[in-house]
Amino acid sequence: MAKMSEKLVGDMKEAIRNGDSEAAKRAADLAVSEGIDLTAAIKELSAVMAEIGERFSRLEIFLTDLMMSGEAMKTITDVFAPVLRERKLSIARIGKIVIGTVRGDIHDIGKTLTAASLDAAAFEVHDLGVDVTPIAFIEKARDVGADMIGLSALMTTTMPYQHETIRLLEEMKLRSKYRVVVGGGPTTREWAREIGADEYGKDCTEAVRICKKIMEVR
Amino acid sequence: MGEIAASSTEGGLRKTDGHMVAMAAELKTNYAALAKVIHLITYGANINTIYASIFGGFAGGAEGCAIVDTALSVAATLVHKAVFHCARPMHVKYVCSTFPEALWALNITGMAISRNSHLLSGSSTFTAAGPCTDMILYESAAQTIGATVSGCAGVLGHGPARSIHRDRATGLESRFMGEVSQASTELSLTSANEIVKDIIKKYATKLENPPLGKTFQESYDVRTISPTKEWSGVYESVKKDLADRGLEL
Repeated sequence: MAKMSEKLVGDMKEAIRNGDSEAAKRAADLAVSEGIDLTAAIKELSAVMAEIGERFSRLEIFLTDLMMSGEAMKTITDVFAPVLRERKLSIARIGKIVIGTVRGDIHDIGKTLTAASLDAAAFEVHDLGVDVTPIAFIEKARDVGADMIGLSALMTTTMPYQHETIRLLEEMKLRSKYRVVVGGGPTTREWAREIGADEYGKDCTEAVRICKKIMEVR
Repeated sequence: MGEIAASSTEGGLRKTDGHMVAMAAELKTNYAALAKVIHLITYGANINTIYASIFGGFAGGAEGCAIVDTALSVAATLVHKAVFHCARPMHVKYVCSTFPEALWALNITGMAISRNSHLLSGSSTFTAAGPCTDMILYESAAQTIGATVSGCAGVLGHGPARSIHRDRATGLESRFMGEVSQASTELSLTSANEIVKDIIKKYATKLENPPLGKTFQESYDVRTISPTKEWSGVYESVKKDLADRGLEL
């Protein structure tokens, strides 16, 4: 049993490193049917995702590699989740974040990078995509019980929507419920301070560090 | 709206001026850009493309960025009716275009477009460092020398200090760029390569934490609109260094 468990975890690790969702699913299905310790497996697989996140931060691999590994990991956790629910266990997530590119802006690379990095770092990420209105961020945050809202803007003309989202949170008396992190090419720490954001992430690596810090004190 | 308001042959942006329509990475357009294209076609203006592939993003590494930036010329010609294309990789973390891999990709793209088409390509430099530093000038020189000898048709100026800090741009770095480009037309590919390899060593390790330099108001006499003694001194010093390396401005 221990040998089978070791082999299957090894196969899943390999699938994640290779970004191979099909191989990941095969190994995950087998892992469930063989009855291996899924919680222990996830712990080991999360370490692989962290390693992949580190490799990306050194640019040894690129965004598509990170995303494919993330997809493979998600495939595995999707297979495990119903079984864990049955056993009244859950996959440990550090925190929940709703992330998107703000209204009027279709740039998604930085946002996708950050979402993938947060996912790799064991956050529950709800990626709303691009051109997201302020109310959409807030409604999703309410629906999923988010801890944080991440706002990405890649143009000076769309940065004001980061401010707009924070203002809307204040109007709806929800400001204290969510920590707001802003980022994106033209944004700066000064801008974040000016609009009343809680934090600024200059790149995806810093965003992960900041989100972890937020969850430590929450 | 700004583009429409500024389009005027009477004191505004003329038809012959460069009107920029950006494509979003990677190779995407949107209704706002298309509306701008329609306006510019109606106005009868030249359309220029500005673009940055993301090194480390969907384009991948240097090779992927070179392919994407080359493809951009075709895409922008067909979709945006652009006549002049200015594309270069931007580093996903350093947010500049002067890191070594980007220079390679930019130069290969320039050569590919120049050799295989009649399309015009240009180079605009997004530096990590800000004005009144020698680093901004070395970054500018490294990109401009390579772009010029690789066949780019023109150089378009800078986005200093990652283009995100208020007031951190002056005219001197762009004047320098023009001088470097002109001087580089005398260089062979081989000699340009040797000069650029040397110059890169002067700043490549500082790209993650570059000097922000000074604001326009600190670097220039705002009454006479001329560089301060300090900024002029930096400029002269780098000019001399380049001359010692074989590039006389």
